[in-house]
Amino acid sequence: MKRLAPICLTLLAGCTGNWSNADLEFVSALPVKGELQSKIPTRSTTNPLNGEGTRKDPLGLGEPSQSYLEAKKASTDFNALLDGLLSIVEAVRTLPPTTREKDSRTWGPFNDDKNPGYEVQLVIVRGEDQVPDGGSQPGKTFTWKIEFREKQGPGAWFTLADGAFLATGGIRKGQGVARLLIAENVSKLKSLQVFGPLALIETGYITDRDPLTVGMRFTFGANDAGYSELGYGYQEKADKAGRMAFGLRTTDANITLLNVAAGWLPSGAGAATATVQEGNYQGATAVECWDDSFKTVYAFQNWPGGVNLGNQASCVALPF
Amino acid sequence: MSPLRAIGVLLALWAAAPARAEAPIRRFAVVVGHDDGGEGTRELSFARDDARKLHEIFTRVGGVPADDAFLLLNAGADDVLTALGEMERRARDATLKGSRSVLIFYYSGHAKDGALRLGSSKLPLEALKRRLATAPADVKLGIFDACRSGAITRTKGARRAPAFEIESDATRAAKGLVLLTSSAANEESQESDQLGGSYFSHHLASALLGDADKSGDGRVSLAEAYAYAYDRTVADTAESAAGPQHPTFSFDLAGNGDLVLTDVMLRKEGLLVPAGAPAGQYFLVDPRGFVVAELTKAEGVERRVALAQGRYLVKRRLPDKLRVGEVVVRDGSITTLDESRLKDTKFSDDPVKGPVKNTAWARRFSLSLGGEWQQVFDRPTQLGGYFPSAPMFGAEVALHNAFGPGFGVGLDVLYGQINGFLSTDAVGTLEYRYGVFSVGGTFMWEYAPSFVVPVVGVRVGFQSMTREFLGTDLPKQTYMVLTPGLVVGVRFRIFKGFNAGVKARLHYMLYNVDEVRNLGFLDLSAMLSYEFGGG
Repeated sequence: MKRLAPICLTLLAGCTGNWSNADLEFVSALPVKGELQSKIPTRSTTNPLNGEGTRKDPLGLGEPSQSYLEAKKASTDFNALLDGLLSIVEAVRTLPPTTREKDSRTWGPFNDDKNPGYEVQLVIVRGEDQVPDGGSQPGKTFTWKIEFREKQGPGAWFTLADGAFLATGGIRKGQGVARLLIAENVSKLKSLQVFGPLALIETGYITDRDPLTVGMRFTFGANDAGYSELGYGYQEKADKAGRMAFGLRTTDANITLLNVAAGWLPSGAGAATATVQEGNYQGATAVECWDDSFKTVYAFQNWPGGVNLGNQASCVALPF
Repeated sequence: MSPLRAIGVLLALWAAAPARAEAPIRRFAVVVGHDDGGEGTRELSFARDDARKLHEIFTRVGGVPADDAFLLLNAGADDVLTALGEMERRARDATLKGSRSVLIFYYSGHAKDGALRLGSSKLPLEALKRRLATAPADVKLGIFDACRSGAITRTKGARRAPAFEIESDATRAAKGLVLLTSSAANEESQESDQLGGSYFSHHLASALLGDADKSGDGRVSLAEAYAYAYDRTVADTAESAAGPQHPTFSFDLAGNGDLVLTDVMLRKEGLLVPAGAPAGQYFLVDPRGFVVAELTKAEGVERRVALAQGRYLVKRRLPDKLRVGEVVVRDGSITTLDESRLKDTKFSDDPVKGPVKNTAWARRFSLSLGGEWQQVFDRPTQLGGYFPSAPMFGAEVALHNAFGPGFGVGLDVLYGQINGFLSTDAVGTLEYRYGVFSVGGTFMWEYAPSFVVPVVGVRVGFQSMTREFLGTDLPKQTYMVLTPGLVVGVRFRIFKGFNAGVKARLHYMLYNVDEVRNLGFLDLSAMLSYEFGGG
């Protein structure tokens, strides 16, 4: 009778909808690519850098900054990978949950057009409250996973992506991790073939403090270049000043792996420091500064034949 | 030879009648009026008024002592049978004491499927007819003013004719049953707003008050009253939408004689229209604006109407105008109409104002526009509540008196919007834009005749709510729910068809997404309305 009463009342009252305060909390546990993607300043109206990332001329003062272009390209590439990780999450965010339990929400199963014969679901589970690192007040914890299964049968669910989030108050404010399990699923899901040699993408993020921090690690399977892992870090202050660090693979035998750390002010002016990690110039470094029109104002390379242009005093002071 | 051709049925039952009445006569009456015919019928406006009118005439000029006349208004079948049983007992006692007795049963109300409809109870016509036929009175007179009431007369001796025929030179007092009905077995009996009663009862009353006294002896016989009521009822209803209405009669009598129903001179009270007054049709109108009696006067003939004491307007209709004047009938005296006191009046100033009463209860529409505050009984959304309170505006179309006096329906549409903040532990504070759309139907009762019109009712609403979270990509949320509720309000007739009013609606609302919660809301509204389409 206790179960019948609300059912009868529901029929009598004829109510329906997705009006839920709790749904907002579950949805907020999911990472949003727009918030985690790096955002390097660009000024399309005055930007002289058409064809950015393609310049092969030697460095010269007043020329478009090569380091800025490399950082911009790296930002675009890493954002694309983050997009791959979170695209499914983004797709279901706008839909109401299919199933509501006291401490969980499930979206799906849905048919997956990109992987014919499979269906997908997103499950978010609310866990025990925890105190975040560096915090004092406990926050709600959520874990989530994106699962696939063959429609025929149907098969058993297997996990493509999962993550966790510790909410510390505010819309999507907290600390989270997420990962995309490529290698173990690529044989079943055709859509993963776009990731090439990547076997695993992992990310961690902290959004409840300034600066916002995002870290990514890319684990590779067997590849011709022979590398197994790359890292990427990004921080963004509230005023839109930011910095990023990443490894850059090149075909130059002298600089096969370059570790780059770039930073910028809200105006766009910034600086990058590069250290040769692998190659004939291993251990050499380079510094390049650009102004708010993204033109080189200072360049210094300490490897053979390197340049030393401009005055280092022309470089802006970075906030972090 | 009487003006009415003598052939058959005869009664002689009036105490003051000629000497052929050998024993004293006692008269008893059960007068019933019921506006409500129960399921499948529409409430009548004047059935009780008809009963009051006939009860007053029977007791004032019809020889029925007030103690021997029961007036039953909106009473059930059991009460009617109980009253009839009591009058049967008294008639039996009168007979044992050597008196002759007359039992009159009058009914105004609904009849359907072979039964009188007394609210939710029924009184089968055939059973009632048998009861009257076997009642221990010398003469039983049944008068039925009801739709298809002719069903009671069609089994034996029924006639649909202008008059039944009476042998005037009979010597034996009659015994038996006479039945009069207002319409044939397949006809509706109609009411008139102008007359403030049914056509048949109005004309029967007018006849009994004296207009049917063709012989001029001051007495109105059953034959005279029936002939008069028949002619006037058929004439008045000939052009009506429901079609002409033909009264019927039947009799099952032994013996002879005429039945005098009223004696206009009995109380020496009423209105005298002198022989010198102009010929024509006179209407006597009471202070409410209803025609209580009519009088047809021929040139050079004196006429009397047994009006009760009171103040009346006398109206005579001429081709291009009305002649109207006031007369006062005092207790125990005859007032003579003075033609010189009548004044010419335009047709637009006709004192007959029957519709005044009925305008209030007439079926009509209204359109209302207004605003309201919807107060939701829930925690504030800043404290985790689900629905905010909001201002709304909208319109309502209502059909008043759709299901009888005071009972109507309304259809309303409302929209509201407000911005607010929602706070939850994990999400913090979000700004939202809330929208609410409501459409509802109200079944209401209102007391319409007064300047202040109270309204009560029940409403079932369909409410659709949305909220969008500003500055976020969180999905829009919606909730739709049926909300039953109660309505109470009052409106004021401020100017002609315009009304201003306030209303409160208390509604139940079930929420069942995150959890099952029984919520409610109160709508407090103010509106301006315009009524149209009423008679």
